[in-house]
Amino acid sequence: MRFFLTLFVLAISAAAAHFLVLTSLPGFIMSKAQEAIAAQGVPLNVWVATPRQTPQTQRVVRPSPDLAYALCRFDTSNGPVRITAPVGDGYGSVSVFNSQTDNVFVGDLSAGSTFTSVRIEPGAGAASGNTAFVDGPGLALIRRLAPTQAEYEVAAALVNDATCETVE
Amino acid sequence: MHLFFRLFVVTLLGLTLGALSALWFGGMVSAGPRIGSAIEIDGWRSDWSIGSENADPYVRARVARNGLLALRKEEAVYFMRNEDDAGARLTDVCTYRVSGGSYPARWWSITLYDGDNRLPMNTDQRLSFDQSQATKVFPDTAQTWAFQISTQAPENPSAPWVSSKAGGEFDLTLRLYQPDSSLLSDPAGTLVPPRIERLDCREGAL
Repeated sequence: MRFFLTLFVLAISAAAAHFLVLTSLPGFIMSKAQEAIAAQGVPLNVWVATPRQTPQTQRVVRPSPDLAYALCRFDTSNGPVRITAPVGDGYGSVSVFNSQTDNVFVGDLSAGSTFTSVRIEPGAGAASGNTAFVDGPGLALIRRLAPTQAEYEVAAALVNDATCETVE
Repeated sequence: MHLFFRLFVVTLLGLTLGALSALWFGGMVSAGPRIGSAIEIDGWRSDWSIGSENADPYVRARVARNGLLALRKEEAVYFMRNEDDAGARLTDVCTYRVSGGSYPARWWSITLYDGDNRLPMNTDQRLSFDQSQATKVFPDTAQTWAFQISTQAPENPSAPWVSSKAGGEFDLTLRLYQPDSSLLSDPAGTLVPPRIERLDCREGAL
């Protein structure tokens, strides 16, 4: 009887710790990433172009050196956020991530796309049209194909025409 | 009293085992599993739930650790491989020839990462090979391309290569952006992934 009780307690405690740690990892990592990005001088509600990705400039895991990235930190605790980004000449996308690392929205910024903006509402659930839902802090990311320095500079300049602001 | 003490110790042991196993299976340990492997084609592994709310807790944790800010499959899919065609671990002591063809996507790239999920710390500026290079280097045969992976540039200065210098035991990530719906519905029947042939290794290194 004691043996089975011991085994039962061991199994329950191991399963509980396994589940708790596993499910808290994405939120923990995203929160640390947000802190690291903020520490690099990226304020809330501002698009910031990251340097061209090299071994010396990389800040997140597995960056693509062929892409030009821009980041915006936002927080829907202060109200909905409206994100705009211009369409470019080559491949590009604007994506939105919630605090659990889920990619809740992707807009096409490639040549010919009609994307203009996405509204991020507080809450949860699947995106509908150009409305997505994020509860609290989130990250938006622009990726543009830029394998050369010249293409990177074109992509980085487009960041000036993008917005990421809290709205009514 | 003896029973309570025993259960207390067992509970601590269970919590420790549970937490450590979560870190392992969640991909937090470099030797542990990387992103999902629900899909495997000739040694290239992927998982269509990456980036999605439907990802199970293991895939979600692994992606957070090894591929934070990964896109959902409708926008991009990611395949990883850390072995050559003979099943040997990819390492910077060997030279490889990677070859392939066209892929059912708008744009593709192959990038080399070290064991810490980073671009290897070198200054060779040869970090990846992508569709635009394949078209440029092989204008007449853009459907079939090849490049070398090595720690030093090939003797032919115009030959395409990716540097593995400081890569240690590395892996390759194949990114396919805006994949065709056929790839998403039938990956094994649609994708012929790149081949990785080992050419040679530094003497005494293996």
